[in-house]
Amino acid sequence: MKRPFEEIVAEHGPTVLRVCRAVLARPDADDAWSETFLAALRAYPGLADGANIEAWLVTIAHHKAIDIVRAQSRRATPVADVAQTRSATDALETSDDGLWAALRALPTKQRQAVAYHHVAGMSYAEVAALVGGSTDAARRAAHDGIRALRSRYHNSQSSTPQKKESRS
Amino acid sequence: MINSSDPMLDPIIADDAEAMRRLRDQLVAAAEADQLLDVAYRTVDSPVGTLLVAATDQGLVRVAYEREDHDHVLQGLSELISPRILRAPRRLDQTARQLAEYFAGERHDFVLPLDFRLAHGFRRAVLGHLVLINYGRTESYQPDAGSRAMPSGGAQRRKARRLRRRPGGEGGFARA
Repeated sequence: MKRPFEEIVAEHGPTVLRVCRAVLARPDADDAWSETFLAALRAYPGLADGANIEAWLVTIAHHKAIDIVRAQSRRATPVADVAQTRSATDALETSDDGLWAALRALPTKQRQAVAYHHVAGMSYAEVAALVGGSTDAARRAAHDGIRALRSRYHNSQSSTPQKKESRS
Repeated sequence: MINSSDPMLDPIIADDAEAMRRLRDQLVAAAEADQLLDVAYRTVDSPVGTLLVAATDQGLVRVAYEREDHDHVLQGLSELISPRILRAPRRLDQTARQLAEYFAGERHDFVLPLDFRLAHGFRRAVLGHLVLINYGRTESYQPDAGSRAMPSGGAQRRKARRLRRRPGGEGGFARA
C-alpha cells in the first residue's frame, strides 16, 4: 500500500529542505535535498509499509549532508568562496539569511538537534538515534542551541523586523 | 509535520514555495535520467472536465476522469505498477497536444504509444477515448466540431457499447 512518491515529495519536501538548509549553506543545502529525494525515490519501493517516512527522509538527508561536507573538506577551494560564487547567480539570498547563518554557526550537535527536533519535528529519541548519544543529551543540545540562537540572532534582529515577503 | 516550539524559528519554518518548485522539477529530470520514473502523469483540461493521463516509459497506461478521483487512480497505479510516480508533464506533452487537438475538432484519431502491461488499464484507456466522443456529442464538442466528426463519433460510440457489453466488463483496475 505505497502512496505515489509525488505525495511524499509534496508532503515532506518542504520539511526536508528546511532541515538541509539548517545544517548546510545554500546551494549545498539544495543539492543535499536533491540527492536525498533521488536516493529516496530509488529505495522507496523497498521501504517497509508503515515506516515513518519523514524520519526516513531526514536520516537520508543527514547522511547526504555529511557526505557533502566531507567532499568539500577534500576540495582545495575554500568553501565560503564556492558558496558565494554560486549563490550570487542563484538569487536566493533573503532577509532571513541571518537566522539561517546563526543556526549553521552553532556547534554541530546543537545545530543537528535544533534542525531535527524543532525544524523537522522529530522526537528527541529519534534525534538521539540519528546523531548518537542519549535522548537527554539530544534534549539538552536542542535547548542549548535555541538559547544560543536567541542571544546571537534574536537580539541583533529586533531592530529590523523585515519579513520574507520580499522573496519572489 | 511541523513542530516548531519556538517562534524565533518561524522564518525557517515558513515554506519556500519557489525553491520547492525548482527542486521538484530537477528531481523529475534526475529521476528520468536515472530511469527511476516508472509512472509519469499530468492533468489536462478538457470540455469533459480535468483528465488525468499517466504514462510509463512504454506509453500511455491510464486516462481517468475527475469523477474517478485522481488521487484514488494514482494510488491504484502505485499498487499495480510502481510507487515511483511523479507529476511530469513533459513525458505527456504529446498526449496533451493530441487531446487538445481532439477537443478543438482538429483530430479524430490518436497516435500514441500505449503500455499494455495492464490489460484492464489499456482497455480503460481505449474506453476513455471512446467515451470522450460520447460525452462530446451531448456537450460542447459537437456544435463546435460540425458534422464532419459525426460519422466517426457515431461509429466509435457503437464500438464502445459493444466493448462494454463484453463478458468481464470492467475489471478490478476499473475501480483503482
